[in-house]
Amino acid sequence: MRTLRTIGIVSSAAVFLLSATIAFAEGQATSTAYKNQIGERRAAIASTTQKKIEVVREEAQTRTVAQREKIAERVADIQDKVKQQLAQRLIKQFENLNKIWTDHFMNLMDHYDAILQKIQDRANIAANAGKNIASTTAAIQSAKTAIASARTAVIAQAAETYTPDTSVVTTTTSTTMPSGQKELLQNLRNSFKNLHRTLFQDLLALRDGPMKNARKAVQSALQTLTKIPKVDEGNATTTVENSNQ
Amino acid sequence: MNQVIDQGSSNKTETWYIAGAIVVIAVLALWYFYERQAPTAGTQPTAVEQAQTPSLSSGNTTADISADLNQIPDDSAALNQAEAASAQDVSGF
Repeated sequence: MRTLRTIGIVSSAAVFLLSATIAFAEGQATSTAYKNQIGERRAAIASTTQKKIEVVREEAQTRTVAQREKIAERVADIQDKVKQQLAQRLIKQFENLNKIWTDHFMNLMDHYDAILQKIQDRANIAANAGKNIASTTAAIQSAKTAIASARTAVIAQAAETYTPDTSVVTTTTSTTMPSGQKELLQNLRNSFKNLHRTLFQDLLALRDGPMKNARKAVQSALQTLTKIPKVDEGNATTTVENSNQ
Repeated sequence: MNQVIDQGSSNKTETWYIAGAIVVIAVLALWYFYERQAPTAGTQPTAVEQAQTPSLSSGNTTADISADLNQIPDDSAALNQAEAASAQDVSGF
């Protein structure tokens, strides 16, 4: 009798714990499905843009093969092994910095695009409830244009190469002579300085121009959405629609 | 008399085994659910560690969207830091 009672209590506890887990999981299911939809769409866009970026990068690499080989020869002429390694590292660093930041900017664009899709979804809910969403629709379109412009600018930046110009890294005397070594290092130093300045001018211009414009446009679309009366009423989620991006 | 005591002890042990199994199952179920919910972490570039984009929220109310937008980090500091670090490397040549 006591065993039966114990089994009964334990079974009840088991049912309670498992049902609580299932109920919690089901409660999250709807919002999770929406989040997954947004995530999937973002991944699809990211895949497309990433392919474009990879193509332009490969083209840029092919275009500068000869230049990179020449500069590698110049760097090999440096007798100071520490300086030689540092020069090799700097050459790789400029290309790597451009890659990292253009990837990051493109990732941000994917993020803005996903946010814009959410704005569109909420606007659709409001429209279905009979509300006027004209200003939001216009703002969404402007934001799409701004994001597209920023994507174009990021791809153009990804196509840029930052390899030292071999025509300015020349020496009037042989690099086996101390004076030749000094001249070689000085010219390389100047070349690296120029590359650094150009690279960051380009990246900062991208950040402060098209990237900032895209963010502002998405913010503006959200502002117009918040101005729709009782916009947050209705279903919390809706099916993700394909955009024209 | 001894048999009664043994039976009682056996029942208690059995109860603990069952209770332990239930707790383990419940914990595993919760763990499984949370693992499925958790976003997968990818490799992150070191130079923009401070500017990683967070995952989006699961809702689309204006509060959710506003939170999503506000969670995007400001690039200004990270890019300026990258510029300074690179300038230092160049000047070290």
